[in-house]
Amino acid sequence: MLRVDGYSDPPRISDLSFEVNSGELVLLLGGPGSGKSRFMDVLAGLRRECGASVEIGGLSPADTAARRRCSYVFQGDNFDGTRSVAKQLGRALLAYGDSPGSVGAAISEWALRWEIGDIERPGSELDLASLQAASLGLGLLPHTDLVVMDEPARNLDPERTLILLEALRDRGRRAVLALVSPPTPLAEVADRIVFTGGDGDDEV
Amino acid sequence: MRSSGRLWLGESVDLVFDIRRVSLYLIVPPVLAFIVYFEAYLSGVGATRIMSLGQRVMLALWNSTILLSLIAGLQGGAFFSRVFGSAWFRNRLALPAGRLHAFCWFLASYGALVTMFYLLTAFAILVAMPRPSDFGTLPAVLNCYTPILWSVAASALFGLLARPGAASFLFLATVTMGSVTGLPQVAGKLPDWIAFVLRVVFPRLGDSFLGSMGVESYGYVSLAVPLHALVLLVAGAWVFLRLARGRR
Repeated sequence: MLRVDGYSDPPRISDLSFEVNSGELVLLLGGPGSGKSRFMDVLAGLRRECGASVEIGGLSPADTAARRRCSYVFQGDNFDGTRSVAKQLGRALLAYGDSPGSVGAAISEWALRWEIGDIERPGSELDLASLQAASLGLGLLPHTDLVVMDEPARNLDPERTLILLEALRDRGRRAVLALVSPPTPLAEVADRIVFTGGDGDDEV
Repeated sequence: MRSSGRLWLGESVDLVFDIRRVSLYLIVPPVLAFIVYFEAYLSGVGATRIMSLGQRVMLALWNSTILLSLIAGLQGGAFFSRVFGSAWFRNRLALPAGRLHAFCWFLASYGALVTMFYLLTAFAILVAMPRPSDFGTLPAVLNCYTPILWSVAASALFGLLARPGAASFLFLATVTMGSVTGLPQVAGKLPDWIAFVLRVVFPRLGDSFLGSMGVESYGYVSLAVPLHALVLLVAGAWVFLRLARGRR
């Protein structure tokens, strides 16, 4: 589903190559400042690949068709803080092709499951854990083949971390790539860990 | 409409038609009424030349254009810079929607806001002021509309290139140069090649104004401002797409 070949971001990442196949959960592990978020931009087609080959389903991440198959959760700033989170989340789901009739129910259910409270409020008025839970909806609610998440467990309290782990276990045929700093609770549900330092893959 | 178009249409309408942004345009009618009254008074007491009815209507339309263009450009530069430079907007470009749609819809929504106020103002002027029977209403309204389109296109480009305050300043500087280089008193004193370069680089707002007032010959000048706006639009779209891929 995702193939990265020869990605470098000197001096932090050098010659990073790995694949994420359908149904697999892969962690890209690196400490703070190890270039994960820049790499996330590359995966979202927001930064050039710098000579590397990065493909989502055989397409460049900058291609709209590739982004239709992939959903993203960034480390922060997933929503405009001044407007309703539910509205912004709904628009994102519509962009992925969800029907307008199903979007409202999906968001309400998500808010209930993650105990977000009033998801209609602007992002700046939600607490960090609720905002992160809503952001995870951007990655996990659309029916995509690949989910890429940057520090998905960040700001989550222990209860919501358990909900995240459960959601990741129930991923079905979806491929998931999580960019995380150690130590991470996601290690217990991961199939494979890739290190940004180029130390090779570790099967879990 | 395709889902990608809907996404950016919704996002742009939310932000552009924010009540705080729209309320600034409410100063246009009273300021315009004051200017029109003041000009009529000056003309009545002989402080300025007596203008024909057509010229008075034209001047009122130009006053509304200048006011709206300045508000649109100054506010637009800061607005586009703030939106296009924000982290949430950049992250939203990862959604499966054509990235050019983001630029185009924000521009279209902002243009619609300013156009709406221009049409309301022009309608009020045409209803309130007497005009001769041979007055070309549609050409006059269209001619005065082109600088507004130019302001929206320029503010979007400057918003992409600079921080909020600097984008507004860039807009103001360009408008000033465009207005000044059109005036014969200034352009006539410059060496020919400098005057030529300035006329190409800056919009010919001064020429357009004088032409429509019947002071200077009109000719192709009326096309210069919309063509300049079109160039700015294309340049803005190119810069936007480059920035969306992280190129500086």
